[in-house]
Amino acid sequence: MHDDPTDFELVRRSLQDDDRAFGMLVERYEAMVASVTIRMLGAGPDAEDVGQETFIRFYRTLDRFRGDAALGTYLTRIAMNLSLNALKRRKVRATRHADLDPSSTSPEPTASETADAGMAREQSAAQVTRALDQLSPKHKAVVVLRLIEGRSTKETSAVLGVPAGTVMSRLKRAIEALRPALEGDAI
Amino acid sequence: MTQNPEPELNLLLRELREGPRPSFNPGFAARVVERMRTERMESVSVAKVFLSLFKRASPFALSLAVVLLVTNATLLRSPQQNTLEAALGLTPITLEAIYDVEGALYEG
Repeated sequence: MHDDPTDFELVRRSLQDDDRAFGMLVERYEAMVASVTIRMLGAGPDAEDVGQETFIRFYRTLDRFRGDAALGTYLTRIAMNLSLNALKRRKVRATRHADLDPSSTSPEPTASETADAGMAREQSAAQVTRALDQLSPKHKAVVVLRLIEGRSTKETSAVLGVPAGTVMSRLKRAIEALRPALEGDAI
Repeated sequence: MTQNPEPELNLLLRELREGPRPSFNPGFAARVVERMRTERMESVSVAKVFLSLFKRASPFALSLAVVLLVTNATLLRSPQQNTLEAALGLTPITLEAIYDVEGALYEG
């Protein structure tokens, strides 16, 4: 019977240019990274690109990874930082675009999209996603990690590199900001 | 509109949490490994060549710079120059030097 190689073993083999070992690491943590990048950026090429970049950055720093932090936390931290940077770039682009085209607004669901009563669950998810998009990136990051991903305050604090107290206060502010947004969406 | 949005908020977040987990398109790991291979090849062909050249050339460049500084500061030093000016080969700013620049400008 073969045991799955540990993360540390796969990292060691990847350092010796074993691409298969690195591929196994990517497969092992792909879902975790996808969850962060897609929830932060929405499904699409941006999330895929940030997901790939997360693993490439990790590959570049393999020799510095000493295994003192859980690999999942380490990758989530990279993915979250890159997602926050992507959101900042997107905001800058949107501001420039809005300056050029005042009629541009964030996309709202069309009547045909919302007509199907059987899609109530998806609508709820879309409603939360829209409300989340209205939060600032740092508040959105806390909601995604703490409330949606279900990570502990300590883990969220480690991923974001801020004290636990800051996580709690950002979470409180985020919830306060989400309430009117969700109420305004006619729950 | 709800009177107490807290349970609604929790419910909506739970739905998002318990709904299908977002995932990348199939073949993600293969795309990452491919990108990593490309980057590794590029970094070998460009960065490592430059780094290797730099490592080889830097001791010579540093020695040459020191020799030139010492030569300037000792052998080529004029009485008007202080040590720093002499080492860097700077002309001391004196009235003569200023008139000399004007002369050079109007010579043509």
